[in-house]
Order: sequence, then C-alpha cells, then structure tokens
Amino acid sequence: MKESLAFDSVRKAYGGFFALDDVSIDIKAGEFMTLLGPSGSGKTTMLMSIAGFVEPTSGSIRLDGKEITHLPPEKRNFGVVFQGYALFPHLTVRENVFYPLRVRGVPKAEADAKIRSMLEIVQLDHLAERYPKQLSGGQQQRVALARAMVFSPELLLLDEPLSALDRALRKDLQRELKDLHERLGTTFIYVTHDQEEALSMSDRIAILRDGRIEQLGRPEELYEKPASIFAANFLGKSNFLPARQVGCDDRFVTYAVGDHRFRLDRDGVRSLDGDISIVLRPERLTLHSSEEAAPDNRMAGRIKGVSYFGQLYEAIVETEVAGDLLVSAGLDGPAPRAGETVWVGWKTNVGVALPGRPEGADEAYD
Amino acid sequence: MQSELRRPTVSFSRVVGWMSVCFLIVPVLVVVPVSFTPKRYLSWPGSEWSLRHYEVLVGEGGWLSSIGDSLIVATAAAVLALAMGTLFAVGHWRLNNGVTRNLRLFLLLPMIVPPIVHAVAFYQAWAVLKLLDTYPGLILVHSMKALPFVVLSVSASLINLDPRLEQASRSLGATSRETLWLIILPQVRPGIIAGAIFAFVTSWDEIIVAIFITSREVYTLPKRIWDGIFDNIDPAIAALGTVMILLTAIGLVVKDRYEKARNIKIGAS
Repeated sequence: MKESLAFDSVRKAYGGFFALDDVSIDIKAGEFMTLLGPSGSGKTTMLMSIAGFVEPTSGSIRLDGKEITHLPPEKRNFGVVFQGYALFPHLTVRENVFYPLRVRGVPKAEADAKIRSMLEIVQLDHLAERYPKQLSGGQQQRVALARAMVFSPELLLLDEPLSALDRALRKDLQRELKDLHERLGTTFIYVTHDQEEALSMSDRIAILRDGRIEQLGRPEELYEKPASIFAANFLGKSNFLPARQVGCDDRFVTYAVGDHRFRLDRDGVRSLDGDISIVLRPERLTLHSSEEAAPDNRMAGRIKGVSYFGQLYEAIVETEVAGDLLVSAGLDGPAPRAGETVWVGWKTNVGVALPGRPEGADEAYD
Repeated sequence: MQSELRRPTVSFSRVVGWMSVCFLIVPVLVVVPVSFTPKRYLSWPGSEWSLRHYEVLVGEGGWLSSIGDSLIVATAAAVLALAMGTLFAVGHWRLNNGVTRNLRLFLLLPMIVPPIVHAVAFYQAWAVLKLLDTYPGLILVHSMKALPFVVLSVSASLINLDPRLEQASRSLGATSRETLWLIILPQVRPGIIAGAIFAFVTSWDEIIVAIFITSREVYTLPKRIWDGIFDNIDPAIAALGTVMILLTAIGLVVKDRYEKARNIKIGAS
C-alpha cells in the first residue's frame, strides 16, 4: 500500500509544554488508523494538526509526499467529523450535506445526485428536510459523516465521534463506520479514548502518552505484546507480577517472584536486568482444582470474589506470592466459587516481560 | 397551551405585576387624549375632540421633512454601526487577544462619555472639517454612539456560538469570508437584529449632539420636538407621540404573529 499521510518529527509547543513531542508516523492509504490515549495525551492535537487547525512548531506533515504542514484547512480537502458533530443548526440535513459542494461550486444536478447517494448510504434520505435539532444523536452523527464524506475527501478525520452516544447505539455505529470504511476505501484517522472501540475497529492503533507515540501496531500486536506498562495497562486488563530475571537457557528465561520461580519461552521475551514486570492477561490464566492438573507455571491461591459477565466469569484470586490476580474463566468449565482454594496456571508462551513496575493503582482502567 | 396553565387566582405578585405595568404605561398613554385637544396648547381635550394637530403633522410645519431627516440619519448610522460593530465583534470572538480586548473597551467608551462632552468635542472638530450641519457629520457621530450597542448585542450572541462550527466550515472547504457569511452571521442574526434596532433608536432619539452640530440643513425629529416645546408647547408633539406609540404597538404585534407562525411551522414539520 502506498503512503498516504506522514508525520516527520512533529512538535507542537504551548509555552514550555509539548502537546506533541517529536511524533513521526506513516499512515497508509485506505488504512483505519486509531489514535488512542487518555485525555491530554495529544491525540486531538495530532488530529487537529492533520486537519490544519493546529500549526506544528516544528517538523513536517506530508500527504503523498507533498508538504501540507502550513496549508490552511480549507485547502486540504480532508473530511472532519467533530466531537459533538458541529452541524450547522440553521441549515437542514440536505443543506448541511450540500455545504461542502456549494463552496466548491459543484453544479446543482451533480450536487443533488451526490447528496442523494450519500444520504442513502447513511440511511437518512427520509430526513433530508429536517433541522439538526430535530434529529437524535445517532442521526446527527450520520449527518456529520455524510457531510464530511460527500466531497470525496482524501482523508476522513474523526474526533471521538461516538463518545456522546449510549452504549448500544455506539456498538451499531461502530459496525456502520467499519462498513463505510470498507465500502469507500478512504483513509480513516480516528481519535478515541475507548480501548474497546480502538481494538474492534482499527487496522492499526497508535497509543499516545504525553505527546508521544507510546506504541504503534495492529490491535493484536498491541494487546498481546504491549511494549510498556502504560500500554499494557491502557489496552485491556492486565496482571503485573513484580519479578526478577534469574536465569536463561536455549529455550526458556526463568523469573522469580520472591522465591517462586517460573519460565517463559525465550523467543517471546526480551532479556532484562533489574526490576521487571511480567504482564499476564486475565484470559490467558487458567484455574485448576489440583496442582497436577495445572501447567508448569502455577501459583496456589484462594478465590476472593467472582463476577459474572454473561460471556465469562472474572475471579480475583489471592495468592501468597504475587498478591491478587485477575483471572477470566469461560463458561465451559466449572463455575469458580468464592472461598475455593485453586491453582492459577499459565503457559510459557503467554507472558510479556517489561522493565519497571506499575505506578500505584491501575490508573488507566476504563 | 397558555390558557390551560392560567389560573384565575389573585396573588400578591400578580397585583404588584399589574401595578408595575400601569406605572410604566399610563404616563406614556397620557399623550393620547392630549393629542386630540382642539386648543393651541398642551391640554386635556374635555368634551371636544379634534384632529387638527394630526393635520399639522402632515402639513407645512416641517414635521414630515424632519421625520425624513431622522429616518435618513438613523438608517445610515445604524447600517454603518452594524457593519463596523458586527465585524469587530466577530473579530474579537475569533482572536480574543490583548489587542482586541483593549479595542473593545475603547469602542464601548461612547456609552460612558457624557453626551454633552461629545457634543462640544464634535462641534469643535466638525467646524474644522466643515462637517457642521451636514448629513455625513451627524451620521458619523450617531454611528459612533450606536457602535457599543451593536458590539454588545452581537458579542452576546457569539458567546453561545460553538467555535467548532467555524472549524467545521473551514474543514469543508469554505474560506474565512464564506464562513463569515454562510455560517457565523446567520447564527448571530438575533444579535444583529437587536443591535440594528438599538443603533437605529440611539440615533432616532439623539438630541444633544444634534442641537450642537446641526441647525437648518439637517433638522431631525427630536430637535424639532425640542424646538416645538421650547417655543409654544405645541400639541402636535402629543399627536406625534401617539403615532409613535401606535407604530411601536403594531410592530410588536407583527413580530409576535411572525414568531408564532414560525414556531408552528417548525413544530409541524
């Protein structure tokens, strides 16, 4: 795939504060790229600098190799779906969608055809004469999309477009957005702080933190192989075992948590000195009633509490060695019960070793 | 819907409310009977009524030409103040930096400076510039005096304007100018209309500066009324007042009807 949009060492300073700090990224044409991060991480600043509303202090932004860093927004031909939609309240749905064609001087007949087909795509053809305030949140969202897409922009930028909607509607619209992306083949750049949304929709995700890209990759990569404790914490739930590396042979790296030892496959982990954390996802941990049934990596514990989520159970297991561990259990096995004594096990290919220890409580649980 | 909500009770607040209404309106309405007096001076009509003072209004007394002068000056001043004030308010909304904040204070000064100071100052200045007793001379001063009202009312409308509308417009390919005309101005229309009315009335009512810098060539209505009272307490002034009250009332009724019709239209669609 050819390159579509490139950031080259982009910085944006507000006084002494860097909203974007040396950001470089290549976004491919047709890609669904998500910028994910907590508030203040720079994701919206990044999107607004693509749109042209924020001018970088240094560095350059290119579209297909062409420099656009200082191009005003109206010259960029990018569609933007704003948080809160920013529909023009004094114009009807049709007039809102007509607006980008109007300022481009598109002939009436051609514009009418484009508006009609766009409104059909977002299923709003029957509401074309309504005003925005007469529409529901989901309908307004679709108008914003239609308006941003009707002039066939080279990129579609979406700033937390679903954050104002309730959960069920959000799910529906996530699917619709994904469909739309596949149908139109336009590059989507999507800003969100919702990790679930990011995982389910994106081709690639960039996790931002303090104006820097913390990690960039496909959703599976980010989830399975987080590059930092922040990334592991931000995307999904994690158990962190405070460990030290105590040995290494051809196949395995051996770790110790206190006096307790376990092994991970050598080709899956980095070799690290000092304080490290082993990241174990709850769904990679298994519960066993006896020591013999558990895999080699195992730990004795007692179930403190169980939550039922419909598709799975989550158990908190208190262990002497590593404190509380969160374990997901499917519905096939016996239901975990509070008070039971169990063995928590995990295979040698599921852990990730990261330098450092998590700070305080898990701040980024969403 | 309103009649369903209305309850036929006599409460303290109701009495106070109606008393306030009377306090505001009755003194104004006194001019109505006075205007029908058959006598040559301001007086209660008694048993005889006459329209002679209304005849004077449309007759050779110069009232019509003064109404014309006032209309010209007030309209031109309002248009000028509206153009400058609206553009300034939008600029201040967009930039909102130290320069525009100070400029804003400066623009609001005409509301603070006593009119007599303006009058004397402009008398001196216009004498030098040969603008005394000319339309441009009076229009310029009145537009300056009206400017703060436009700036305040348009700024008030802009406070509620989502700044993302402007960004949305730009992102959709509109230039700053297109954004101003197609998005921002339609959104602040209530503020512009209010500003226009304030500006018009400011000039329509203005007398102090008019007395100082105009004499015969430009002869606005307030000045003629002033002269009329000064000379012989002419009841034509009461007749004029009655006409004004009537026009204002008609204006309010039309506005009310228009808004009701519009609400019904929006509600039904």
